[in-house]
Amino acid sequence: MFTKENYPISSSLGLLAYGDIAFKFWRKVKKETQENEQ
Amino acid sequence: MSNNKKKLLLIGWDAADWKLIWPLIAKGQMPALKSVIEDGVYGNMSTMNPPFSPMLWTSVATGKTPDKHGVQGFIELMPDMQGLRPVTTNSRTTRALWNIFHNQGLKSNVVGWWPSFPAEPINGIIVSDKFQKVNKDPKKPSPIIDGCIHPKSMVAELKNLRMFPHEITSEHVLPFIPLAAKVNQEKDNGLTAFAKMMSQTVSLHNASTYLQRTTEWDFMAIYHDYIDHFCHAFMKFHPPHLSAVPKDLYEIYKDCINGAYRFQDMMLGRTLELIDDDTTVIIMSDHGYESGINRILKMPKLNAAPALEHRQFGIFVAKGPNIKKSEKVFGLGLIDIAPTILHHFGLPIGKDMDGKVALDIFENPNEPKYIKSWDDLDGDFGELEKEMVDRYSDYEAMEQLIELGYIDRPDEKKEVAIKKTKCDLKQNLASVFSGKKDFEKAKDILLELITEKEPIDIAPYLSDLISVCLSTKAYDAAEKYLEQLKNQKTTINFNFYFIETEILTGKGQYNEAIKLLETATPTRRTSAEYFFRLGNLYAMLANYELAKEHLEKAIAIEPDKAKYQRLMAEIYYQTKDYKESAEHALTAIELVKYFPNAHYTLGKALEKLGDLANAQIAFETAAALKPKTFKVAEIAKENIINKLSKPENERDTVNNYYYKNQIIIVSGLPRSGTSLMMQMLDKGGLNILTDGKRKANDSNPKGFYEYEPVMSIHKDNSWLEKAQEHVVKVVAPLLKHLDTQYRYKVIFMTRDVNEVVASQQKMIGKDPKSYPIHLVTNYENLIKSTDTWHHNQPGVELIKINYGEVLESPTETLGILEDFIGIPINKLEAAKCVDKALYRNKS
Repeated sequence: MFTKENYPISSSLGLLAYGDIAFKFWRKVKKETQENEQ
Repeated sequence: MSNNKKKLLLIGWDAADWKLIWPLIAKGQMPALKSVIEDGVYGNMSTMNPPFSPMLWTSVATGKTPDKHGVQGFIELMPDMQGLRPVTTNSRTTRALWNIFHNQGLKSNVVGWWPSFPAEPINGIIVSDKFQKVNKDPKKPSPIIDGCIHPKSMVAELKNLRMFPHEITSEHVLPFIPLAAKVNQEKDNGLTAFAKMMSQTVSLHNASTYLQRTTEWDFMAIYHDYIDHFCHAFMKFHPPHLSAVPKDLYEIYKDCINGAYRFQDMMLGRTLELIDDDTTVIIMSDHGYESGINRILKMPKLNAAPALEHRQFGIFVAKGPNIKKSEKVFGLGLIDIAPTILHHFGLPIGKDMDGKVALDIFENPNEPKYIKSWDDLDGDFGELEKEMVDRYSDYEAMEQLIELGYIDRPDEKKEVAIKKTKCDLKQNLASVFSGKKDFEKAKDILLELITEKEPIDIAPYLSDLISVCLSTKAYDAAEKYLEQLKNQKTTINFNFYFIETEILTGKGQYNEAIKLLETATPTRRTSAEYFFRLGNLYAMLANYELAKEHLEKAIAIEPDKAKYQRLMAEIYYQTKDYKESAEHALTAIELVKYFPNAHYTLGKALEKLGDLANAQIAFETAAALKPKTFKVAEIAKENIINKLSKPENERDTVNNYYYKNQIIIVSGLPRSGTSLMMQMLDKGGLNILTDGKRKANDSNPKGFYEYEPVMSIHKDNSWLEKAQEHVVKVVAPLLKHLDTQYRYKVIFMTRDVNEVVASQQKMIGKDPKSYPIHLVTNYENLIKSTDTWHHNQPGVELIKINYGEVLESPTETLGILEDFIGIPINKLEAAKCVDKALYRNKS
C-alpha cells in the first residue's frame, strides 16, 4: 500500500514523500479546498 | 566550487535495522534502498558505547570518539552553568567534515544533523536540528530563531517548507494506523506523537529536496531521526504480539514500524531522483533497534534508558562510481565514516581520528593520506565565534527529549537538575572510556561518582564500576562494589544473578556459578543470555554435552548473536566435530567480522580438517584484528607455516623446533620425578629458574628446584618474562595459568598414579599403604584436563616422559629431550643424577 504505484503523486503520502515541490502544491490545494468548503 | 565527479551524499537514518529492512525488501516494499544495495555495497554498521545518538552522529561527522569530540549526552549545561538545554554545536570541541570542506574550498549542505544548532557559517547551507521543531500549539508562533539556518538569507526560502503537526490529516495517518478512529485520545497520545514525528521528518525532507534541487554542493548530509522516534513510540506494538501489550492497542499500532520504514524509503526514492550517477551515496544508521523478544516494555529509570533497546549493529549501504557492486562489506564502524569520506575527496585523515578508511568499499582504493590533526591547522574552517552560541535554550526540544524518555524531566530544583546532569555526562564519558578499553580512566571517573551524596543515586555508577572491575578481572573489587550496590537505596532493579555468576566464573568457581544461575527467577530462566551463560559454564567444566544443550537453546532464541555462535564453534571443536565447529565460527564471523576469537576458532577447526591454507588466513586475520596482543593466534599461524614447510606425512609429528625465547617447563604430578628432571637439566647445562628457597630434605635429598612465584601464577604470571630461555618447574594443576603469549616446551613427567600417591603419603608422614581413592581419581582427571589444555594451546609442545624410563635409560631419554627442546644437553653429566637405588627405596 506504500508503493509509488499505489500512492502516486496524487496521494497525500506520495505527495509528502516527493518533497518540497509537492508539499507546496499540497498545502496550496488544501488551503484552497478549505476556503472553498467555508 | 563544485567537483561533480566527487559529490557525496550522506544520509543518516537513526536506528535503522537490517532485521526489519530485509523482510520489507523481500516483499518489494523498500525499492529505493534495494536499488542502492544492488548497485553498491552493504553491511553492518557497528555502534559505539554508549549508543546515544547525539554522541554517535558527532562521531560520524568527526571520526572521533566522544572523549575527543566533546558531545557527551543528550543535554548540556548552559555556559553560565545555571541551566540545561539540549546539546548544541557548542559542545563539539573538534572540527566536523563540513568545517574541513569549508577550509578546502568545498561546498556542503547539512540538513537536520544532531547536533548542528547553532548553524556554523560554512561554505554552503546548514539547516540545523532546530528547523523541524515547531510549537505543538498551532496558535502559538514558531519563528525560525537565530542560528537555526545558515546563511540567514535562506530563511525566507525555507521557512514555509516546515510542516506542522496539525497539518497531518487522516490520509497520512490511515496507511500507518488503519484503526485510528478507535484511539481513545483522552488516554492515549499515540496519534499526537505520530503527527509530530511525521511532520518533523517531512519538514527535513522538504528542506533537503529543496536544497538538492536548487543549490550546488560537493558534500550533502541529511539526518532523519524518524525511524528511531517511531521505534521508541510504537515498537512495543510491532509483531509478534508481546503478551504484556493490550491486544486492542496492538491491533491499532501494529503497522506503524513497517510503515515508518516504507515512508522513509519513499522519501529516499525522491532523494535519489535528485542526484546524478556520478554522486556517491552512503546510507547508514548509528545503531539498530531491538524488535524481538528483548523489547523492553517498562523502561528502568536509568540515564538514557531507551537506549537499552538500541542494538549493536546498524546499517551501511553505499553506491557510487568508485564503490564496489553487489558486495557485502564487513567490519565497519560509524567512527570510520568521516575518514572514509575525507579519503573519497582525496583529503588527508587526521591522525587524531579514531576511525580508519573503509578501503574495502572502494573499487579502486588509493593509499590514504594523513596529517597530524585538522584541529591544529590555522585558517578559516567556518566555525562559530564562541560567544555567539551561548544565548540559546530550548523548551520545546527539551520537552521532546523528555517525551522520548531520553532524559528525565529535570528536577524542579535547578541546582539538583544541574548536579544530576553533570553526573550523567560523567557517567557517559566513563562509558566511552570503557568502550575504548581504557578502563583506568573509566574507573577514575566512576570512583569519583560513587562518592556523590543524595539526591544523586549512585547505584548506576556502582553497576558500571562492577562492569569495569569484571573487564579488568578485579573480582574481589567487583564483589566489594556489588555488596555496596545491594545495600544501596535505589529504584532501579538490577540483575544481580548475572553479576554474581560472572564474579564466580572469573574466580573459577564454575559449579557455584551454575548453582546460582539455577536459582534465577523463572522469567530470567527463559532468556538467551541465561542459556548462553550456563552453556559457557558447562564448557568451562568440560561438560560439552550440557554446554551444547544450553547453547542450542540460546541460539534458537537469538540466532544472530555472534558470541553464541562462537562458543558453539568452540564446543564442537572440543568434541572433535571440526566441520560443525568451522560452520558455527563462520556464522559468527558473518555476523561480526571483527571478532578475533571467532577467526581463531575457525583457524583451529580448519587446521584439524587439514585445510592449512585457510587456517593460516584465519589465524592471520585473528592476529591482525588484535595486533600485538593476540599472541596465541600468531603462534598458531607460525605453527601452520612450519607445518606447510614440512612434507605432508610429517606434519602431525612434534615440531622439534627451537623457538627463540621459549620457556621449558618441567611438570607432572607432585612426586612424579619433576625434581629429578630439573636436576638433570641443570647438570646438563640448561639455564634453570629457581630461587632455592625450598630446601632439600629426605624426600628430595638433592633439592626441589622450585621458584616461589610459580605458586601464585594464578594471580601474577609476569615473572614468565624472566623464564624465557630457562627451565622452570610448574606442577600440573598450575599449567592452565601459563601466559599464552609465550612458547613452551613442556616435559610432562608421568608415573603410575598409585606409585605417586604412595610416595606422597610417605612424604607427608602418612601410611603409604592407606589408599586415598579420591586422590587417585582427582589425579587421573588432572592428567585428562592437562591433555585438553594442551590440545587447545598452539604455543605449547608437550612430551610425556615416564619416570621409570628415565631411571632405566637416562641417556636415551635425554636424547629424546634434546630433540624436543632443540637445545644440546650434556647427557653424560645429566645422566649422573640418576640414582636407581633412590627410586627403589621410594617405591
